[in-house]
Amino acid sequence: MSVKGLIEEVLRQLKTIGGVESSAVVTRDGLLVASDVSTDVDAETFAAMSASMVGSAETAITEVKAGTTARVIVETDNSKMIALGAGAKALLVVLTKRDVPLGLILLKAGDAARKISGLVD
Amino acid sequence: MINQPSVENSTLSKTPMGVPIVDGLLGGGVFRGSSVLLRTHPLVDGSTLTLQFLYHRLESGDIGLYLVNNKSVASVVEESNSIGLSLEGFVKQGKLIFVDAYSGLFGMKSNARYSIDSLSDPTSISKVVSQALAECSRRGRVFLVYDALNTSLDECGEGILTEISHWSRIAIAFDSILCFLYTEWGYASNISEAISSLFPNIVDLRTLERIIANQVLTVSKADGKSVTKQMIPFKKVIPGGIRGYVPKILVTGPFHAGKTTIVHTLSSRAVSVQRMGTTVALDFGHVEHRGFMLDLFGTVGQPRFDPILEQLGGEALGAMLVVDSTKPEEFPRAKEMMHKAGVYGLPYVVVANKQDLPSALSVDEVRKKMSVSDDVVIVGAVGSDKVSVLKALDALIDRIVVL
Repeated sequence: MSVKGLIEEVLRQLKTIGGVESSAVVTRDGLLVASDVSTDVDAETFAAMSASMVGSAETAITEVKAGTTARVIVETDNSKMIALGAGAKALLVVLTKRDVPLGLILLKAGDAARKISGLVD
Repeated sequence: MINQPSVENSTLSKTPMGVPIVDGLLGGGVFRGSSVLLRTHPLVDGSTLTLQFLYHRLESGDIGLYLVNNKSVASVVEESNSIGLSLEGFVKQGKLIFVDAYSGLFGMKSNARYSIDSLSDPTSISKVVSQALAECSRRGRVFLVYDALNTSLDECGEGILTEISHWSRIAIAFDSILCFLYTEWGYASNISEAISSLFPNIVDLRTLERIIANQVLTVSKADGKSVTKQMIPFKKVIPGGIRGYVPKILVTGPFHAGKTTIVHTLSSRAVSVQRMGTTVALDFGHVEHRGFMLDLFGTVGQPRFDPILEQLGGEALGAMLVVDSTKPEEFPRAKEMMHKAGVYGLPYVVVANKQDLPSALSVDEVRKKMSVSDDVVIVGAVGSDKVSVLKALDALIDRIVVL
């Protein structure tokens, strides 16, 4: 099985958690590695923008010397988007329903990110 | 070695296979009366490209003859539908004819015009193939797909290779083109060599040990001659099939040089994160050109955004450096940005933008002032003029695919 196939397997496992709608792995420099987002989403644009978002957030935090960025969470009126580092090269981006228990999602997303880090680094 | 048509005869023109990146590498296509081996790595699927070839030849008026021995006839049609190329019309008009060498395996009766029951006997396969080639050639020039050579090699051994030589002679007589699908795995080196010497044209699909753009297409032989290897990363898109794929071209340059305009001019769809008239995160544009799909990453020009430039520059395959031809004082900044983005040393072109302004420096003056060496292409352009910026993109693509 290819690395991409294995990453997709990790994303499949993540999707079995209640409230998780889709997820994607992108490189920190904005290229799509794997995703299970629906086909009407432009995954490449999504990947570029997610990486840009995390990069900007990290830089902002570093500038004010406020610690190391663990994750970026975006809340909208009907969803949450969580972007977290998956090793030195990749990011895991998870889209969930708005009312999910965040603790469980962060735990599971953290597990998935560790697996992905092991696969790509 | 099969007898080939005399390729030195320049009056013969080549027949395109209809996939621009392949035709480009083959020098325009293949000669009628010759054969193509589509050789794939076990993890890459070659059937999409074959179906694109077939569909293009059918549309151009060829008679398609499709021998299938590893799946049902219905699944070939279905697979073609799945990439948006419907074969049903050609089947109905009798333009696409199947040789079913699959149903017989299970003792099923085939509905196809031709069928082969014994897969292990090269002479009986050959009898059907020769007959089909000759009969179909009476109605037009044939494009034959043999899907797949592996099944025959596994069932008949090397004996099948002698038969291929025989079919190649029939192809010469009738101006047919033969296309063989072949996954290279686990064969003795003498067999692999025998196979590659049998085909005047070889297209390879394989994977590289990297995650991004890891599938590449090369042509290792064209018109019986080994060719310098160019590697084109590719991706399968639905609908459409195989396209050349350059996942990242960095469009960088100083503030207000026109990067956003250029990304939007080139792209079929583009998004920009702009606040108060300037880009604050990046411009992202998707381009379809010359059979390639390219994604453009336009960076922010202002120095205060440089940390993002450093983060997003990675893994680019090439760069477009955009400068405002009226502002030579910013040229040093332009070069600095290339370094910061980590793309120095990659293929790049310089776009000398805003050539429509009266005070614009000429391309030569820009080259001198920037001290850019002669082997780097500088294109004078007007950001909103597609013709001029496409010229820059063309030059960059040529640089990127020559490896």
